[in-house]
Formats: sequence, C-alpha cells, structure tokens
Amino acid sequence: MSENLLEVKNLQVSFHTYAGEVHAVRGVTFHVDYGECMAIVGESGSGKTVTAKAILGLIEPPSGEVKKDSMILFDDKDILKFTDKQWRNYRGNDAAMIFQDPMTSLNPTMKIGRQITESIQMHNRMSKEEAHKRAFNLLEKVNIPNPGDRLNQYPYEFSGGMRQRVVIAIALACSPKLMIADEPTTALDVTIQAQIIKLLKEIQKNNNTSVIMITHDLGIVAGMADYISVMYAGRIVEQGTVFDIFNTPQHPYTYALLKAVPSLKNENKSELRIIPGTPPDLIAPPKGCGFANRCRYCMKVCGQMSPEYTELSGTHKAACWLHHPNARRAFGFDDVREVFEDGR
Amino acid sequence: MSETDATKLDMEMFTRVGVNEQRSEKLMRPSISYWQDAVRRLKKNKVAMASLFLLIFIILMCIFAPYIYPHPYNEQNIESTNQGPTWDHIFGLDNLGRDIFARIWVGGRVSLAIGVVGALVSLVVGVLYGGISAYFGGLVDDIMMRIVEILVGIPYMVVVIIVSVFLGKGMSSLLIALCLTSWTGLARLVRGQILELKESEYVMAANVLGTPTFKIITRHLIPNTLSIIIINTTFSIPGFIFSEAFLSFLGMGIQPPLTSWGAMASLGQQQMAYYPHELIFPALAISVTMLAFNLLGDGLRDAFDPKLRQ
Amino acid sequence: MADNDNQEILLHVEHLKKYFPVRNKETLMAVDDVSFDICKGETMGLVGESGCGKTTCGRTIIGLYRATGGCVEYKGKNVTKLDGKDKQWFKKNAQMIFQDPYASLDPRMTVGDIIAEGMANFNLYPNPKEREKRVQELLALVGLNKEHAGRFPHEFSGGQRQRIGIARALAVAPEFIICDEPISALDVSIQAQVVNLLMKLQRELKLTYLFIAHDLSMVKHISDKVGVMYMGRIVEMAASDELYSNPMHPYTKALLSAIPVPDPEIERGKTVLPIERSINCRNCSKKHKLNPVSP
Repeated sequence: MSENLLEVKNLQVSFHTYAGEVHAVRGVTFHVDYGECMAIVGESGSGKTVTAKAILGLIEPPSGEVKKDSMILFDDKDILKFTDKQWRNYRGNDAAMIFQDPMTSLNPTMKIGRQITESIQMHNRMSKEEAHKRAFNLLEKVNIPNPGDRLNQYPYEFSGGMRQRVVIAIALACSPKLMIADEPTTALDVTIQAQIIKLLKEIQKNNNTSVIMITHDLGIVAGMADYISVMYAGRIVEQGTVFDIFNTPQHPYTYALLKAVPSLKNENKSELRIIPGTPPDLIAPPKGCGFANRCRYCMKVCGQMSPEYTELSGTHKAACWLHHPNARRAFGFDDVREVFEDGR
Repeated sequence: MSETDATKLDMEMFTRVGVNEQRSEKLMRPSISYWQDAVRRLKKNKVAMASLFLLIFIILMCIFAPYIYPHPYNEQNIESTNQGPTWDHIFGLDNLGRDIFARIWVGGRVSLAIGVVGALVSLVVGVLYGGISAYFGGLVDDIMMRIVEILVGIPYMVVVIIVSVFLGKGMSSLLIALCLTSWTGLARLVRGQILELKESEYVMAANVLGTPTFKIITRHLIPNTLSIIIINTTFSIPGFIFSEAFLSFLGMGIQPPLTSWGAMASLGQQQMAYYPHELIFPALAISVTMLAFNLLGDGLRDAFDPKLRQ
Repeated sequence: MADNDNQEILLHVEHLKKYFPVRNKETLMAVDDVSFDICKGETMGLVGESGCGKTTCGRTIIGLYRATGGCVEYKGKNVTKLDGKDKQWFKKNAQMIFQDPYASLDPRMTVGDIIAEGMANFNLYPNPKEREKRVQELLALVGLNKEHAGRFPHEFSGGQRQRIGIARALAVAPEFIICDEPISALDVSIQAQVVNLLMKLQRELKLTYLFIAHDLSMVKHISDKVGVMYMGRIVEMAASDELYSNPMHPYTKALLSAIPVPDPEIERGKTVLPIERSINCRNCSKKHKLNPVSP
C-alpha cells in the first residue's frame, strides 16, 4: 500500500467554449497523505476549483475534458478509469466536497435531516431510525445546538454559518477519507469563519481525514495547512510545507502574494506591493511562464520557455528561471530572496 | 530538458525584461455582445432555425403567391366544385369552386396579420403597463395589478360579443376585442422582471449618478427585459392566430368576402365527410404555423438564457 | 493625523436612523443612531460583520434610502431632505462604488457608455468627441486600455470591472466617494491593486472617502479613522493605529482576534475570543460614544 491517499499526476483539464479551448489545468502534480491537510492557494482562474472537481469526477463532457495523460490515484485505484457505478460508490463515501456558498449548496425544499440521511442511506445498508440517529450524532459533532429539533427544520431557518456546518455534516456522513473544501468560508463573517476553520481542524485530527483546502486567504492557510501548493494559470508554481512557503518563499508570485496582504503591522496608508495586470486568459495559454507578463523579475527566457521544477529541499520545490544557475551568474545572488527584497 | 533546449539557455536569455503592463491587460477573446451570443446560440439550434425558415417561407408565400399563382382566390368554377387536389389546382377546389391553394395564402395574410398586429399591440400596452406598475411600486402597483386581475377574469368571448354588438362583426372588432384582453400576460411578466431588476446594483448606480427615472426605465430596465418580451411575443402570435381561427370558425370573426384560415376551416368542416381536403389544408396551415412559432419561441428562450451561456 | 478643528468638515452625520418595517408589524432597526464627521481629504473606515448596518448606513447617506430619523449634512447643507437642483448638486459631488463587480455594471451596455452615463446627467462634455476623449482618459486613470471602451462587462475580470466602476464614479468629478465593500468580491492580489488605485486617486484628485468593509486589515490600511459597527450602532471609533493597538470594546477585541494572520507561528498558537451573540450592546454603546478616550 502506498503511503499516499491521493496522488495526482500531470492532471490536464480543458474546456471547449465558443471562443476555443480553455486550458484550465495544465499539468498539476501533487499528493496528499493520510490525515494531512494540503492547501491549494491561487487566484480565480488559477485552476484550483477545476482541479478539485476533477478529483471528484465532476468534469462533464462534452465541454469539459480530462486529458489522456492525466492520472489520479485514490488509495491506489485509478479513478479516471472508474465506471459510473464506481464513481457513485466513491463520491460521498470515500471523498466528499464542501462548496463555497452555503446558501445554494442545500436543497431549500428538503428538511435538513432528510438531506443528511439521504447521503447515509445511499452508501450504507441502514434502517431509517439508524440513519436518523447517525444524523443526530453528526449535527452534534459539528456543534449545532438542539440537533433533535434542527433535523426537522428547513435550510432557510439556519444562519449562514450554521448552514455551512450542516454542509460539513453531510460531507462527513459516510466518514470519507478525503474531504475537499472549496473556499468554505469566503461567504462567511470573520468570526464565523474562525469557528468553521476550528471545526475542520478538529475533524482532520479526530477522524484522520485528509483535507484539501482551496482558498485564496493566506491567513487560513497559515493556520490549517500542512502542505501548500501555489497555483497560477493552471500550473503549480511552488509547493512545500507551510513553513517553507511562509518563511522562505522561492517563487516571485508566492512572494508577491504574501506581500499583497496588508498586515496589521503595516504602516498606515503605505503603498501595498501589488502584482500589476491580471492572470492570462487560458484560451491562449502563454508559451513560457504563465506569470511572465506580471513578474517584475521577468527575463527574456521566461517569455520563451516554461520553467521546470527546481527541488529546493525534500519537501520544497518551485518552477522559476531564477533558480537556474545562469540567473545566479547574471545577477550575482546566493538566495533568490535577495532578488525579491532588493529587486536586484 | 532536451539537449537542444539546453543549448538555447545561454546567458543572453537571462537579461531582465520586467513587467509588460499593456500586454498584461489585453483581452484575448473576440468581442461578443449579449445579442451576438444569443444569435450564435440560436443558429446552433437546428429545430429553431428550421422553424424560422419555414415561417419566412409561409410569410413570403402569403405576400407573393397570389401574384404568381395563375388562379385568383375568388374565381368560382361552378362546374367543378369540391374537386380534390390536382396538378392544376394544387389543393383542390372548395364548395363554390374556388381554388383552395390561392385562398390559403390570401387567408394567411389575414391570419398572420391578426397574429402579428395583436402581438405588437399587446407588447406595447403590456410593456408600458407592467413597466410603470413595477417601477413606481407601492400603491400604484397594487391598483394597477388589481385592474389586471379583474380583466383576466373576463373571458375573451364575452368581450368579443360585446364589441361585435357595437362595431359589427368583422376583422376590426375581432382585433379590438383580442387586444383588449390579451396584454395582461405580458404586463405581469414585465412587471415581475422589472421588480427584480429594480433592486440590482447597476440600477442603484444609475440612481446615484443622477440618471432621471425615464432614462433608467428606457436605458436599463427595458433592454434587460427585452429577451423576455421577445420570447413572450413569439409565443403569443400563435395564440392570436388560434383565437382568430376559433372565432371565425364560430362565425364571429372574419366575414366574407375576406377569408382567413379559420373561416376556411369552418366551411371545410361542413364538407368534411365527403371532401376532407377542404378542411385538411386550412387546418394544416394553422397547425404548422403555430407549431413553427412555438418551436422558434423555445429556441429563443434557450438562446437568451444566461445560465446556458458557455 | 491632522488637526480636525482646522479642517473643513465635508460630511456630518447626526443621529442617523434607518428602520425597515418587517412582517408582524415589527421594525428592523438597521441603522440606529449613528453619528460621525468626515473631514475633507480624510478616509473614514466603517467596519462590521454582515447585518450590522454598514451598507444601509452608506446607502442612506448617499440618498438611495430615505432616512427614518436624524440628518446628514454635506458642506453644511442638509441633504436628507433635498429635492430638485440641490439634490443634483449633491449627487454630482457625492458618488458611490458598489460591492459586486458582477452586478454593478449593466450587462447590455458597453464600457464606454457605462462610464459616460453620469456625464450626460450633468451636461459635462456635451460634444461627443470630447466625451470619448474623457472616457479614454478615465480608463487610463484606472489602469485600463482605451480599446476596452467598446467591450462589454462580461468580458472583464472582477478586478477590471471594479476599476470600471471607479471610472464611472469619477466621471462626474465628485469630491466625496462612498466605497461600499469595493474589494470583498476580489482576489487578494487584485484587492491590493484596487486599494492602491483608490489611495493614488485620493492623493491626485483630493478625494474624501467613506470606506465600508468587513476586512479589517484592509480597512486599517486605507483609513485615517475607523468606526466599528454592531447591530446598527457604532460601538467604537478611533484613529486607525489606535483602534488596532488598543481596542476597548469587547466586540472590537473579539473581531480583531478572529482575523486570520498570514503567519503560521501566530495562527497555530493563538486563541480566538468568542462572541456572545446575546450581548445587548444598546446600553453601553452610548457611553462609549460619549466618552472619547482621546481626541
């Protein structure tokens, strides 16, 4: 048995639209260990949600296409070759997803209790009473007070934060080994967000569930992730442990992202270091590095050829031409962060 | 990395270029407006396009056929009444020896005219009424909608009869009666849509920018309601055609010498047992035209639906 | 921070109230006795979670809602009860930037028409060629290309749309802009772009802002002073730095502790203060307002 619950290798996903083919994901490779939390960080359009959907088999042909070279192994099984029946067994049971907007993830005309038991009964042979009891326990687990009454209520009777907890309860219903959370707290207030993140951390620890957390909020990532993959323009530009990324970022985009968030210690009204421009439209994927147009350290080679990964340590890798020995020779630095700080 | 790639990586490639801000804001896709996108989607819908071409064909025939076809519509061939379809008289003759093919296209002019005029009048009245009711809201909206509800409760037959009593039977009283009662559906639809649009942020922004009410209605609210209006109008035309056919069938509508598909069907029904062709052709004309409009309306609704955009 | 006494007070809000009637004859007191001043050239931040009334407050000030009580004075004139020409004067001077970049632009209009809409209302640039030139200038001012004037909103990203919204507000040359959660719907790196743009425009065009948001770190960064709203009232108001280094109200403290900080050491070690939703702030808020801890 391999030590990784999930292995994604060279995932490529495209969408066929009126204007052409959009290469949403252009070769993504990562793995998630049992009980680990991997955060995928990126802006909108980076391909992070598409990656998550591919892991759950939610890329619909004919407009969506997962390319032939891609491979996703879950518990050593090649899920891209699943039959419909295998997908149904897998979704909800082995892997579950929490979506962004709690207002629209729940069926407004169905009682909460039934939405939870529906998922349970689909994957387990249980009587209605047993399923109901399990739903009750799940609501307790996600800290919803008065679970007995709440099971008979409709989604509109819950606040945003409570609804997201219900969504998490549904995701947990069959004790999945992998939970994917796609921007689970973006639509919630900051205080509620803190509670939901705390809940997700507990679930990860107590059930040894692996979590893939997709977000653009670096604060959440700092508190929750074990590993981070930074995505840009359909590719992973840097990957490492949480301390690798926050303490020693090695890619200009990662560095710029960290600098773009004002910290409470910043001088008031100082200019934020911004990343000019916008991400490229992936209908015409750039020839070289996707970040070239916006990178202040862009070199001639960056626009021509796509950089390969440099292994910076056992856990840390980045894809940037600045790591090439020629760059070092050209600009005379030891650590690439000298370039970032001085703008050398 | 292949060897040829490695040789390209000489020091010259590592000169700094920096950010290219103009290029980074460039839009890659061709510009496409909402309407162009809708037209493109409609073109892809084969059923809708076929219906559209069929309708265009019918309309052209109604306009031009009587000029081209050798037999006039009101010429009576007394010696060969009720004749079936032949190469000379394509659809045959009716009980007065008149050529049915010619009459179909002449009658079609009346039926289609009623359909289109009725729909257009409905459109103007319905949109204005619904728009005003929704924009002002409150008491104005309440009163206007109660009036609509009363009107909806009156069956149009009653209105037709009353109008006919005053204005006599015929095309004008038919049109007036139909228009009086049929705008209510569109009014309610437009009202619903505008009530929703009123709360959108771009309408609020227009308000904050100082845009006067009239301009907000014409520049923001109505264009964004147009898709609903177009779809509803396309569906209402067959409704008018059928109402006219039905009323003419009962003798309440078109009077001779004018003819319409409904009137032809009425005459044909009397001869149905022995000479079915006199009923079949007008009935087909009505059914096919209505079906084509409905299919086109379906296609338009799909084309305009923002959720189906790619 | 500049001495308030010598500065011209641009906006004066006094005991502002906005109530909405809801079912069962109850009233929702969205804004319940809010008072503050904003001086010319200043940025005031208004912060709070969803439902606290900050958006309603902004919309009532700009005139989208009719105030239930209290008054708003702009340059000394009472604008809550304005009509006709005076209202037009206020609208030209006070503009708003909206939250949702996907809903705040009319999808059927081109970008150029959207930006030019306000100009026609105040008869600025009646000559079409001049108007076109001004639209291009505005596009450049917010960092977009002049070719973009012929395109439609759906072709742009969230950040670009928000910049179009800013250009639209600037088209009528206002002095005061209410920014209603302008960056909440944007990605982090784009947020920084928009905030920098707003600060640059403030310096160049001498603008005054009321910045409404729920992201405390961004609000602190852009504002001179910040008011914290909870359940329709301002529970604490202080200069930016002061508020964050020395929060006094329990709600402010709880809010600050909940902000996730992009630093693994801090995040993994801290405890978040809980918020007791049942705290009834109605009694204590008045005392906080009346007891300024420092000027």
